[in-house]
Amino acid sequence: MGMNCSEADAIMYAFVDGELSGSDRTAYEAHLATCEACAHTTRLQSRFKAALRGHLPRPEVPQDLRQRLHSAIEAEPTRRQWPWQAYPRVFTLAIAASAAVVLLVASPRRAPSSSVLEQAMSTFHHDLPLDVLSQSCSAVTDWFRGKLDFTMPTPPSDADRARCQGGRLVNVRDRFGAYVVYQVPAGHRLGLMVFPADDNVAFGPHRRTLGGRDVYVGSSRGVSTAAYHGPDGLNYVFTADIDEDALAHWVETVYLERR
Amino acid sequence: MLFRTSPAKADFEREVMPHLRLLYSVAMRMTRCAGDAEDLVQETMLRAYRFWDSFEAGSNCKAWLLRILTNSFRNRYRDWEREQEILGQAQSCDAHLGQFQSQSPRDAESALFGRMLSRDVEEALAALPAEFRLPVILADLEDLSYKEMADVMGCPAGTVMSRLYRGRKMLQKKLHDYAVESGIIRDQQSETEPADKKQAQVVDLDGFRKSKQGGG
Repeated sequence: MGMNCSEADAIMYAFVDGELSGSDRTAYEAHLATCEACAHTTRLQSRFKAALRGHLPRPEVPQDLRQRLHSAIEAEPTRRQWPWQAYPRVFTLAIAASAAVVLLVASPRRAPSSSVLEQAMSTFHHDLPLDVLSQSCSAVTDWFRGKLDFTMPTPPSDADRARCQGGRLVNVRDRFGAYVVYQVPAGHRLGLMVFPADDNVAFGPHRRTLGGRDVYVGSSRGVSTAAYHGPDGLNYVFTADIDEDALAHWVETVYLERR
Repeated sequence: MLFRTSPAKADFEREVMPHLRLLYSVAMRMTRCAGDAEDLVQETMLRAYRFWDSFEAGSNCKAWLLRILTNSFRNRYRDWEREQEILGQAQSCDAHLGQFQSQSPRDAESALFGRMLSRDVEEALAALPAEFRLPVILADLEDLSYKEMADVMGCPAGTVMSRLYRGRKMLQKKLHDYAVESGIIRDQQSETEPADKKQAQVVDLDGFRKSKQGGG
């Protein structure tokens, strides 16, 4: 059965924008061949798009902006680079090689891992730009309102040991979760990922009892993780570039004992 | 040697500066003011520099920079949220879907492509709420793909498509009203459009494919 006008209208812009391919495109073109109204609309919209660009060319960049940007970047403190940031390929190879050795030596038993922990670690590693920047944890929480399908509790803060930096949305198992970044003592960074626990998420590898709750801690690739299932039906996963014991202590004293 | 002095400033500028005109152009059309646009571009560049480690070489630098610019814009202009509330009024534009199509082809085209002034088009675009202005700018003026736009806007491609659809319809409605007011075209009601077309609501490829599968 061919496409009707309503179906064609739904994807008309995708066609005009060159985003249709394969059978969608063939079906759309077949419809245009039989429907003058849709063919007319499509032509009109294509010309509208072209005309808009014709009317609104890119403005010229002001002369001094380029120079001002250059000076502003020069004035920035030079970023410290860890060797693996300066030579990522070499380090990736070295890590892969040593991982292979570890696997050969330590297999067949691997530490229990979970894709969620992997994701939390890679989110921490990549350190992508945050959607909201604020030192106020409640302002960060406010930003999440309306964007998540659960209520994000305001994370505790502490002027000395837990300063909020901001947050961003993350996609955890096809649902939005909240990711909050803290600054913790000695310039270390700590990430907290909160997402709904609608099925069993496996955490690992070491179970500790902290603040009366089972918390799973571990570390790998220079990042420690701590995770627990909250009584509010949410999962909490912490990642930080501090050691396992320090992270466990932080989670216990900043997070669990105050709630 | 654990740390080395970063030669990255030169690398950074070499990678990023070619996108300056794009960034400035989008910033101008989002802020509608040259001074604000320059500040927004500068903030974007500095944040990009600070996050340069997280940029993966070989990935899409243009989309990455635009995402930073968009987030900076949102943080600066809290009215982004406020503007969403105004959308209630703007929704009425859906009632005018196809007004341009209702004109005879010559009238509609000459209205848009011949006698309308660029200044009027600029003003009509500037009057769109930011949330709908952005996808129109990215798709129509800067030629980004839906996937790039999804990266920039931080939402799924389906959401990009529906915002783009709404943004374009709003813009066309504004231009149409202007053209009628200034006597460039005569106002006519759509009589000839197929009835099912006016109800078209699905603007998402996945939804379209599902409906095709479901309906046989």
